[in-house]
Amino acid sequence: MIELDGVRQLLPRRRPMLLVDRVLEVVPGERIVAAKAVTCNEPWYARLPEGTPAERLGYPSALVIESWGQAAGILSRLSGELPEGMMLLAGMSDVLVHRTVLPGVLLEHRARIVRSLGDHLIFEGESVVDGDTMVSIGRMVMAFRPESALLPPDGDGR
Amino acid sequence: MNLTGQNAERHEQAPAAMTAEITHTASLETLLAAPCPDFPVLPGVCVLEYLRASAEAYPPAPGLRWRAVDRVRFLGAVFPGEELTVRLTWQRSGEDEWTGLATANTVRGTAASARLRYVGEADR
Repeated sequence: MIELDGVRQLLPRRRPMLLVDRVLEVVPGERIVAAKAVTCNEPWYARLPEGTPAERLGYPSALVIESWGQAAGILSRLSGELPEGMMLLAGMSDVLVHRTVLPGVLLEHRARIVRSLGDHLIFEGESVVDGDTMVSIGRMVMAFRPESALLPPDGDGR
Repeated sequence: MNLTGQNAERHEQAPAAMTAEITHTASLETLLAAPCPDFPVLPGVCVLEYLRASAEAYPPAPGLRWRAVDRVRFLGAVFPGEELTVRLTWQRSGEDEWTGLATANTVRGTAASARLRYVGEADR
């Protein structure tokens, strides 16, 4: 089990984009199970009127995917020597949104390493609530790139 | 996420296809500046969110629900303040199913391309 302090050390993300609360189980180089608690106090709901019906407070699916990806990122950090550079989301395929995630649930992200190809890592898995799959990820590709490849237009990378 | 479409242009090409072009100004709000304060780049899922929001602002039919990302590729970084133009083409892919082919472009080129699938009541 890795608690929040350990998660913070493994991921560069900070509030409110740190979307993993705890690692429940990990087998380095193979798989991870991580938890993310969803609440109605998250900033994504700030612009909605106070009386918005609960069933309309669907958690943004893109953030469920981001949260799952952060769990995959932790797995990669714990899986031995990594290629140099920043870990970036390069692409995804066969991502299915099965159900809407609502506040009050504990998302359980299950991610598995499918393949390692040089400076790319490929994952698959799903996000589950009480045994029901909410989002399934057919394939997520993470790439490691030097920071210089991403410099803003007014930086040295122009 | 604050997604504001500007200069939207929408025109039907045929009953089964429709295109739209929406220009956003990419905003890395205060909240989102927190992830990497020394390196403010829009996370890939936020670019995906612009594509999704654009698709749902210009749906080809009422009552559609986001079902899948069949494919998305992130090809370049997007920085706060940059103009992000989403080009969207809808294709009917089933009786009550539509696929949105979307690209997000900055002045430096294509930042992302995706196939987003939406279904209506009949396919749920």
